[in-house]
Amino acid sequence: MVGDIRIDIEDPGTVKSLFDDFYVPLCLFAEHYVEDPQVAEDIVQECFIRLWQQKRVFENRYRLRAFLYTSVRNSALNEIERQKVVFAFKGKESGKAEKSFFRDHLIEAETYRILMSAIDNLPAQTRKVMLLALEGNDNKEIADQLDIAVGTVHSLKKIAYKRLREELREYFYLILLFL
Amino acid sequence: MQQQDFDIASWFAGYLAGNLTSEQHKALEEWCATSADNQALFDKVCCGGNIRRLSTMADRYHRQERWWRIEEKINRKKKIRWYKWVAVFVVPLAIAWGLLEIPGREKEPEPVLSEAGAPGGAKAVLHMADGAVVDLADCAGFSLKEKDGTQIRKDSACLSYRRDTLSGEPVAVVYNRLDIPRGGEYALKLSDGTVVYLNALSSLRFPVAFQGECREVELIGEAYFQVAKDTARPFVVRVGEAQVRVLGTAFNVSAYPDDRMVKTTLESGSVEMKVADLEPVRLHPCQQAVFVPGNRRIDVQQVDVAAETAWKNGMFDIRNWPLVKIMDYLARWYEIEVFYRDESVKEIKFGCYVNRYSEIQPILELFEQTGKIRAELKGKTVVFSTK
Repeated sequence: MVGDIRIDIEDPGTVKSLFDDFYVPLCLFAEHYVEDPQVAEDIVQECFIRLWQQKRVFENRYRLRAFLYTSVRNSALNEIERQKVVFAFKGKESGKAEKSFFRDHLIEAETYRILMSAIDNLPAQTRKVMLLALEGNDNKEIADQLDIAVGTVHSLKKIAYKRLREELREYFYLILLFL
Repeated sequence: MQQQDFDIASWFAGYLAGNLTSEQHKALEEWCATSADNQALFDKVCCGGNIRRLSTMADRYHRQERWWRIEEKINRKKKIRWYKWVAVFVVPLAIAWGLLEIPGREKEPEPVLSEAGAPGGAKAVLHMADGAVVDLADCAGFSLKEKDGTQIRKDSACLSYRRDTLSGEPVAVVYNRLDIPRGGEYALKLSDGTVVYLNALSSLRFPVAFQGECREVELIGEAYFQVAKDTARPFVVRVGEAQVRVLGTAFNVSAYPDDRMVKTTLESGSVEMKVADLEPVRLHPCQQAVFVPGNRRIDVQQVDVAAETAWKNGMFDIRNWPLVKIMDYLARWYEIEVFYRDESVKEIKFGCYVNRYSEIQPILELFEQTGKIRAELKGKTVVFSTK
């Protein structure tokens, strides 16, 4: 199996690196449910503390990711129940609707996480160019905002794409299998 | 949930990063074509505006602060172990310090809940080089030794470092970190004699003994520095990509992540603020340099130093701030949650000059006396509404 690396939650360092990677995406994900950034942050914070307290062992990275998202979702649903707020999506009772709500927002949060973790490893200027490009700016707009030449944007983007390809290799391996 | 969901995410990421080969591209199109839901999801996640939207949302989170709270919880076990070590090897001293922990006692002491709106006080957590964590709030004075021989002394509300210069042998630099929780403050005397006052929700990482040509520390949050004069070794405060460089002087640095700016206020002497490749700015007394991450410049303005450094003297000196800014500021010191029943009150401006060690209720009453708003304190919750 791909991604078959056992993950032991045994030292605070592991929790920190998972936190760095997943904190923001999980908050984004939780916020779709609870519609309040602070409540979302509370839920994700508790999720990491639980992860540490339970000292779980995950057979592979999928299990770990699935645990994180499922555990945040369950806390979010409890919170909604507790607050009795009006839930964002209709047909909450129907399991199917909640399932696709869960899936869609999980995919969105994971897309963001993978992109950002790849982009974080780029050199500073290249990273800025890529962030602006991903936000839908064209080369001219990027050049204006960063006060550099359009040609420079073009060549930095080329470097960035090459680096991103390497960063994303792990994930593409998965895609090829899936195809 | 299926593994496939995660794979689709990496697919989308690859698409957005412009990394799909033509076959992969085609396969993605096929996947989208299999159902209207798939197509809708792709359109939603993979448009440029969506990443911008998510980034804007992500900017509102208080990542560092939340990590500190998690760290506090997960380091508890470790703390006990360290106390055990103390109990085993230095029992007589431990008794003298008044921090005797019964070995094997696994039950956590219940956290003391602060009373509603009670002010903060001397609270800090020291992270030593070997990973030991010492809570400075709940123990009396003591002395410790870092592995390079530096002496660490703790008095009632001050931690001081002293290095006997006898050993001329150069040793590896040893770092400590002092974290100040919500509602805390602490004073720290570094090995060169520089005194640092740390404000609530702040963190300072520093070498226990300075070595080399530069005295360098890293700050998150707010601190007031009285730098010991040493013209041969400049003192540098690093805040992300910004740095403040001084020789011997007194100044305040405020760099809370949620303020999204770095403010350096000079009281006396001379400091220089540098950010990456920007033109450095040199400040005169009573000037403040402001850097907003993302901006390509450092602004300089005249300020009232007394107001900027009032916190260090135990006061809040607030002049004509919008209510929402005042309450964000006070919530670092008082354990409160703030709600606004009417959005309009957020922008009403107030000022006050009050003792920081008093409770929050009198401050709220001051605001109420203006007749512009109503403030209700229930437990730890403050609710504002129009009069």
